[in-house]
Amino acid sequence: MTDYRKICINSPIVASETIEQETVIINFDSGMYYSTNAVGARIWLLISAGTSHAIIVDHLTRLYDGDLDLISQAVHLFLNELQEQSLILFTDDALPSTEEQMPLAIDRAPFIAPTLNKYTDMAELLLLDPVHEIEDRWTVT
Amino acid sequence: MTGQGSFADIASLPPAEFVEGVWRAWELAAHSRGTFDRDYIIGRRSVRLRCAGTSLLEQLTSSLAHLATERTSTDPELTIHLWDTVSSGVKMPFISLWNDCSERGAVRAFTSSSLSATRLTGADVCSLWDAERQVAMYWAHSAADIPSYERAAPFRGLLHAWWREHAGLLLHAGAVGNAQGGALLIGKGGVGKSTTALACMEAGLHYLSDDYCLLTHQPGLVVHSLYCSAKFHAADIQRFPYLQPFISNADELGDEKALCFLPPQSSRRLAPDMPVRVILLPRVTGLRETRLLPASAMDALQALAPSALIQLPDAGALELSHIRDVVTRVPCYWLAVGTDLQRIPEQVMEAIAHA
Repeated sequence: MTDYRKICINSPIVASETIEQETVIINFDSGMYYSTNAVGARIWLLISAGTSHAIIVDHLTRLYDGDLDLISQAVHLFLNELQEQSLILFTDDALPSTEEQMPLAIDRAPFIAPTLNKYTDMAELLLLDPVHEIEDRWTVT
Repeated sequence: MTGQGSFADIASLPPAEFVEGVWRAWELAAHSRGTFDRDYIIGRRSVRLRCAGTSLLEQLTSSLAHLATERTSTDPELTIHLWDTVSSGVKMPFISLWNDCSERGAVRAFTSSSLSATRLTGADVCSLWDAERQVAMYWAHSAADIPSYERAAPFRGLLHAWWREHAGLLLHAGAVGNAQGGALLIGKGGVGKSTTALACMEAGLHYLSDDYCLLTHQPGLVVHSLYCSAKFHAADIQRFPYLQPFISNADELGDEKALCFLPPQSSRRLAPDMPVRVILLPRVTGLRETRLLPASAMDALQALAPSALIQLPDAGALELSHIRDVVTRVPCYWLAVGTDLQRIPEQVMEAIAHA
């Protein structure tokens, strides 16, 4: 099912950087961080500018060779995973005006499903040493 | 000090009044215990610790000893005002606000681009940096209860917040080098940063850090020493037997890493700063030999950014973008660390030489 809702990054608690088609994403609230493959990085780039499931699918079908329904489903699953990890938000805001449609790529590579790799070692560090409450127990002499 | 009132009463406390309240507490403590100053050069800038009483200075300055300087005639660029409750009798005001913080210790009501109020995880320690008023405060309930990880690397949150204004980043990284420049050693705890740094120092390289250092990223990449402490697992003590007499937390080795303040004879090996030539990602292999293998900038970003930023209470997207910039400016290598410690420095020098 095509989803036209606007998707945006859950900033400021989430930040990301991309280097050569790979993206690292950090959720500063949970302490978890993530990496994606090239297709995931491309989707993340679209999300950072404000996009929708529909726009992402259209964009990917122009870049990659694959069954439209399969691509749509893969994107849907990927977005669900991003949302479950609190990395993105779906909103009712208006999408930015669409740019001129990009043409089909001449040599479209086979579509590979986007992947999200999760790392919890930093989150475990936070859990081991939680901030505890200071007791208001000390008196002034 | 007055009572604190309910959380609802003070939840809307303006930042200026919050800072003023903390400042008044320090003034009371200073009046009670007198003030004692220690001066340092950190990252080529003058920093003063002004402490009410001496208890906190005794606990927190061992790791900064190599950066100590004579009292400066001009005002230092940063003065950190410290006090503790046990020796002064003056408690930290607005406890309920300090207790309302994130998992990383950022106090929710007073974290912004110009105000950084933070709690230290697992300890009754708070710090405050007000960029508008240029006020830096540090409080502990008891100097004696400051955990070893804070004694090893004190004031990280404060220094990070202040250095943000001066193109600086506090990194979870080791650093060693020679006349040709320095190598950053990056990765989370346990990858071999300390082993690599100490092995390099033993071989005659300059030592700047095994765990935390300061990196200034404009105009060039320069790593600055912050702490002359070193931490390693108790099981690794036999690798560096000359450090054993200098372990400061021998009674905590069951739960904590051994904390050592590098002995005076190491002073000639301690360098204040050097340009960064290469980034190394140590990984303990269990094999005998140490090898260098190419690493990508993304490998380095993943190794450095999460462990550096998640430990800092209010670091975020800006710091992440700076780290991305750093890892794309110098070559990166995996350092497959072998069990023959004497081979490690050879590979580190090789990486620096070919950078």
